[in-house]
Amino acid sequence: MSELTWGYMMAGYLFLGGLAGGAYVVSALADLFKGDDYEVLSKSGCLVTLFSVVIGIVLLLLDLKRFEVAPLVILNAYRRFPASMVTVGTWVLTGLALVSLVTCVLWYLGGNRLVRKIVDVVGIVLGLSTAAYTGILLSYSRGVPFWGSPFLPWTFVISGTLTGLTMALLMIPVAAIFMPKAFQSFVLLYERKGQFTEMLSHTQKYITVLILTELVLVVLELTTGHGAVNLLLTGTLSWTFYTYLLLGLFIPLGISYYISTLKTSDKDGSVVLFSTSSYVLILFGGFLLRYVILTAGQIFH
Amino acid sequence: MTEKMSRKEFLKAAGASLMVAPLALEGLEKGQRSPVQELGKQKGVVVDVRRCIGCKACQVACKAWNKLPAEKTEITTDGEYTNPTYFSGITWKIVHFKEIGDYDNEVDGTGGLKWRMLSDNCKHCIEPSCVSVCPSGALWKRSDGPVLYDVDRCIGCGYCTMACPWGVPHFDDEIHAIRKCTMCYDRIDQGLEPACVSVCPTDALKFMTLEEAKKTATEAEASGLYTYGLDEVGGTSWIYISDIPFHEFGLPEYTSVTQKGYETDLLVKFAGAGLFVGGALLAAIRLYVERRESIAKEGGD
Repeated sequence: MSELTWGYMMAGYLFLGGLAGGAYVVSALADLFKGDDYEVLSKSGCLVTLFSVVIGIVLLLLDLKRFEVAPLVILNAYRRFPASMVTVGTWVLTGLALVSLVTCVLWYLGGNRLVRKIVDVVGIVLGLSTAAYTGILLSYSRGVPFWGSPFLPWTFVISGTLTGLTMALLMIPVAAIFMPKAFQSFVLLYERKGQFTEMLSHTQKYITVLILTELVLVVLELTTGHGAVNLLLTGTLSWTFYTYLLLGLFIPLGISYYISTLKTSDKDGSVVLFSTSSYVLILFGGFLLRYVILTAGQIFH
Repeated sequence: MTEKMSRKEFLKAAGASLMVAPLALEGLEKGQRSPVQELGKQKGVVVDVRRCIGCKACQVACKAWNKLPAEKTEITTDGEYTNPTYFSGITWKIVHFKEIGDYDNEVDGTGGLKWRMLSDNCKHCIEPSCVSVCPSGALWKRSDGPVLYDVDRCIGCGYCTMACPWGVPHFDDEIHAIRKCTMCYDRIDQGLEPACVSVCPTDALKFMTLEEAKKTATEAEASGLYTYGLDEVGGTSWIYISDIPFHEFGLPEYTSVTQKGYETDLLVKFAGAGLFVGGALLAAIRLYVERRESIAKEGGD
């Protein structure tokens, strides 16, 4: 092959897809199990999902080499379900976009809580499917054995949840600026700073678990013994791969540990600062992960 | 990436999209796309590597019949005579060159060195991966063998390039569409052999029915020769016979599982991997919680 068919733009869609699915899962779980304490996270999560899906789909259509016919031909993909994995993905993504829109509207209108919880459950299934779809899509490429690892979709599910959670947390203050009314509870939490930092340090526990799981999955991926693995460990992609491991996993893990050792009295400023830096690194790592997997597989195509 | 379009081009493209709309929505499926005349039995080609003299007449005939421009290639320094070395939108036929043995070791009284050449192109799988993954239904398998494509329906996503076990279909930027070997269906329809077969001076390429091709290959296999395409990915319309193993030519090894079977296998593996990783994760969390509880208890005592 002369050049990469799927480059960094494709890595971007896989990243956005995983992030969108993961953010909804986090948002819905927070709503179902944490209720009012994590209301801001639930709201931010479903907004992140809606924006990521819409931005992802629009960019993807524009990036298709025949974008002038794509929107109309894709309408046909709905009808062709489930002929190709992409037609499955078209339905799943549309479903997730609609569910996140409905959830956002429900939050805005403040309607029946039970209805929202039912939508939450449907959305969790769609969110997990979207994140897994980004991996299964690659796996079905028979010409690229490296993508055929049974752990790939799960790696993307975990990484999607991790990046979704961090993006949702990162966007809480941003959303509060644009929607002060909807994010009133954030302002309240922030005024009582102790409670806000409590939420940030509490979610670090989940971040730790997700990072460790992702690490295990990446190691399992590497045990496939395919030639592309050498490319990641010692070859041309090794710098990118080690950058991903360091910035996307190990440093955030260190930050999580550091935050857990802080005494309550020292928390305020440093928790916000360290958490935010960790979120940015995790998001960058999520993109790098998709990029190295895409590139390594194609070089061995 | 898509290049910038002028306004005129955009309007043209927009007009074209509107014309494609009814086509895309109505969905011309397999049966409707057959030509007017009755299609005969499935066709096949047997490629006998032992008879190939590496004259590249097949490569030239392919370019001439399909009006394909020349590929700009580079001279490599690793002793590779294969040129071009990869498929593209304008290169549908490759002749692999393989030197075996060396001057110091006498083999079969041939002076130690032996040449083997393999004329390679789209193998027109019985159950093609490219057709299976295509989201828009642009690729299809004609009942008499050729795997064909509908340029108007291609959205340029690149999934076929990735899914093809040999990376055959490619998007061509000049023609702005997917291109690959068509098995010269336009010649078959006129009762002629594919262009490459018709010019082969040594009958290394032979056009026949798929049934005959399979029979020829099965007999060759029984006599101790290597075959490729009889079972690989569920069988292909182009079947190869050689006295040296096919991995020597860089052809990957595949099982007889078809694309659909491969996809089902993967889904089962994903489920297994999910249970394995999910179970391990739950067990780890449980152990962690239990340990913390016991530490807390000891602390309490």
